[in-house]
Amino acid sequence: MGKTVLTVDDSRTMRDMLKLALTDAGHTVLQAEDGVHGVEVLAQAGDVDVIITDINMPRMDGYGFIDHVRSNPKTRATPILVLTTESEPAKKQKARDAGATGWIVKPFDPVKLVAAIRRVSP
Amino acid sequence: MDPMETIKQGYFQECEELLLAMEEGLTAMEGGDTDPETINAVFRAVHSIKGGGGAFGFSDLVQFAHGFETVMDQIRSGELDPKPEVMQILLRAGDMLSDHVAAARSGTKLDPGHDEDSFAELKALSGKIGDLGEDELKESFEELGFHQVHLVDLDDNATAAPAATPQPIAAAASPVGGKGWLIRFVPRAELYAKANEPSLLFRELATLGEVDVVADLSKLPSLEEIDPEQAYISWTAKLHTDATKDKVEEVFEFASDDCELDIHPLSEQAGVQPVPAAAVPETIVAQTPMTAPQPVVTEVPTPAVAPATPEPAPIAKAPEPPVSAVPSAPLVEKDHPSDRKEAHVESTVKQTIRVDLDKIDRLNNLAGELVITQAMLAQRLLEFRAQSPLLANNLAEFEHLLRELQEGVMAIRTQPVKSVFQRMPRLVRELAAQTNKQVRLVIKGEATEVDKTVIERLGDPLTHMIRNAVDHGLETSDDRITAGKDPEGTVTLSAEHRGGRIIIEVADDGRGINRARVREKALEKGLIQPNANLSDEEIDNLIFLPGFSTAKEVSNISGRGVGMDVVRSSVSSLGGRIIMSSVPGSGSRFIMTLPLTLAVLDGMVVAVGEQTFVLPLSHIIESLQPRSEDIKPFGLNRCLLKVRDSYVPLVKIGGLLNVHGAGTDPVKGVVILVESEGSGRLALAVDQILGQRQVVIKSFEGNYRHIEGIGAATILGDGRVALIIDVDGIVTRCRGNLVENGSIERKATGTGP
Repeated sequence: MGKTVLTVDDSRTMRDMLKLALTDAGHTVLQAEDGVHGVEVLAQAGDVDVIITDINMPRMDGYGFIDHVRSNPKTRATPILVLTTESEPAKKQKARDAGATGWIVKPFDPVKLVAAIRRVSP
Repeated sequence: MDPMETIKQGYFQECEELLLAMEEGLTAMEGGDTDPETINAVFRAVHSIKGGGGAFGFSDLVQFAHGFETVMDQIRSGELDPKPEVMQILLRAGDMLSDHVAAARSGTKLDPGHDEDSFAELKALSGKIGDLGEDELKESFEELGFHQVHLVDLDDNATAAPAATPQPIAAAASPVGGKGWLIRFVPRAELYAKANEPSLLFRELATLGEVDVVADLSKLPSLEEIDPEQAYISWTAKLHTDATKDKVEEVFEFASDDCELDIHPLSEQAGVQPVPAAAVPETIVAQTPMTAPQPVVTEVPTPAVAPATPEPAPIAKAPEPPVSAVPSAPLVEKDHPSDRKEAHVESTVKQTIRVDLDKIDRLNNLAGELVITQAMLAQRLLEFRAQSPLLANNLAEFEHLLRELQEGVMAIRTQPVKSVFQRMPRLVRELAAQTNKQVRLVIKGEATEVDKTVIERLGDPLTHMIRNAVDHGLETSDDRITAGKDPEGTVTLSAEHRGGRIIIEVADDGRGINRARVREKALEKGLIQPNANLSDEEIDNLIFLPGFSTAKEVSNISGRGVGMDVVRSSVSSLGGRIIMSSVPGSGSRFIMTLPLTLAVLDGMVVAVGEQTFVLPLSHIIESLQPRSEDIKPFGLNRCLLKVRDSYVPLVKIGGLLNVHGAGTDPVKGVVILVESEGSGRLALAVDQILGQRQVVIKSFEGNYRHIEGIGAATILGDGRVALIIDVDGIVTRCRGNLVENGSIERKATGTGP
């Protein structure tokens, strides 16, 4: 069943690819270009089912964004998947510590992406 | 188009922007900028290029970018100091990365050794770069073969097995063999804090095979003592499946840090009973996915619904209705309000959209038509002698708005020259290395906007001029020191708007033009007569003549068989002009004047017989009334016109283009002296000059076919079509027949024809 997914990434290519994969899987996609924009979109959209965010972004990076989402009572239980090419444990751990639910390693496989969403959202 | 192909093209467009951002950041860093945001921006650019590249399988690019990114990360974290030597390595890496992007874009592969040096430099600098990029890539692409597991839809499952009633179904699920896994899962509070959800994990397990889940509620305190943020429940799941342990672990991938997880082969279970499930009286057994820890409405502490899951306050969350005992309730997906579909929210980020160029051109064309229609309307009203001042006012306002509309539409096509200017630092770096000179490039006015087409065609002439400036203009450091100058030479590239045109200047502080040498060379090539009386400025501009090259030995930088004449003709094809000035010992300046757009043209409207023609103003030198004694016959049916001290071929447009009713005697008409940048001057005889105006260019080739001598067409205010003369074409055609070697006009002094 379709969910509403917010994707936060400063790379247009990545946003487009996520949108394509997610729309194909029947999800509705909201997009933001960085953490600050992501917070704004969240405030405007109210609720989303899943958030997918990049780590390296201008203005507010992924860690800051996760922090923001987790500290807001409305969104503290929203699953967050971190998108990153950094498969090193340290980066992953830092995202986990900030409160990320899971992660997707770029370049992502659409099947895995959809599976990851299924694993974090009803 | 295939959506992936569209995204790929988008990726390359984005790469262009990212490479610019990278170059800009690196240049700033080279200039001593240590702002973390600058460094971060470079890191992000490289990172994004790599990220997208991986998605399309550009493995060489990804591997190189990975090395580059690693070094940038080390600089970002303060591990590496961006001192000048390091910056040189980074700048070279930046150049290499753009080569990688270009190769990926054209679908070719770079020579295997092309990036070797640069990569080795990065590797030596970082000490951390392995061949990781390769491994990483392999992993992700092999995974593409991931076979799609059967998806158990929640609703289906619920109807198939209405299992919410806490009734052990374990028996029904107990399979025949022992194939599968016994999973013990004990979440910690952090797991919930990160929004992981055990029920989803069990649901996911169910996609691998049949699964029985038993919840262990033994740790659950009484309701009054429950801390909703804590984790009290653990689970044991029997999974009957052929799936490997890896697949099972993958399901718990996100949770594994925040729970205890034991996975044992199911066959072991026969002997060992690792879970005290059966011993616990309050155990609730259910089949997945109905085992979900169910959020309970806290205000109604009905003990009957007891397994109050310590989920972090999901009560406030609208999309998940609290689970009741009715099985279907939690499984209904909420409907998304349609207004949420594309919530692009206002933000402080400057919003842009990408528009197909065709659409803008169509708009541009329409605006042009509108201007023409307005001019026709105005003329018609004049003919009717409509004397209403109100009408005149309205018409003036209409015209004003139209101009604004036209300018607005044209402005859509404009872009900052930055995109082409930003390619120059790399060029200068490479040239400096090749020529062993110290060169500093100063860029000014890169925000100046000009038509996209102009920008696209500006690259080549600029590249050539910069090459020239570094190769011929600047001296070596030693020579500069001897001359009492800064050992580092400066090349300045600047752009500015002036009077509706754009001025682009390339200046160097080198040795200036060696006029004696230029003159000598021009003589040698037969471009001027030995006794020609030329001003300094005229000598300087001789270098624009075809076939002129002053370099004593052809260097491999500027001497590629391309002279300044090619620069001049490409500038001219853009409707621009180029001149140069030079001060011996202190440098040269090349000044290009270009139109802001190629959609309109400043033209001289002339009448020839029954026809009206437009001559592009950029080609016109002067117009004059010829005296009969200045016209000399030359060969068969040809004439030369004496203009001050030189002879110029005289051509009657009427005769050339077979126009009906054209005047035959140039003395009764007007002569317009035109110049083609490449092929010299020509005197064109017309009947009458009607005026000067801006005309909207309508492509001829696009609507009809190419006609020699005619460049394009336009529609005049009276609705008539006027052809725009292709001056370059006519000059080349006429002079080619007349003067050998395409040289400039013979000087009249001393040597008569």
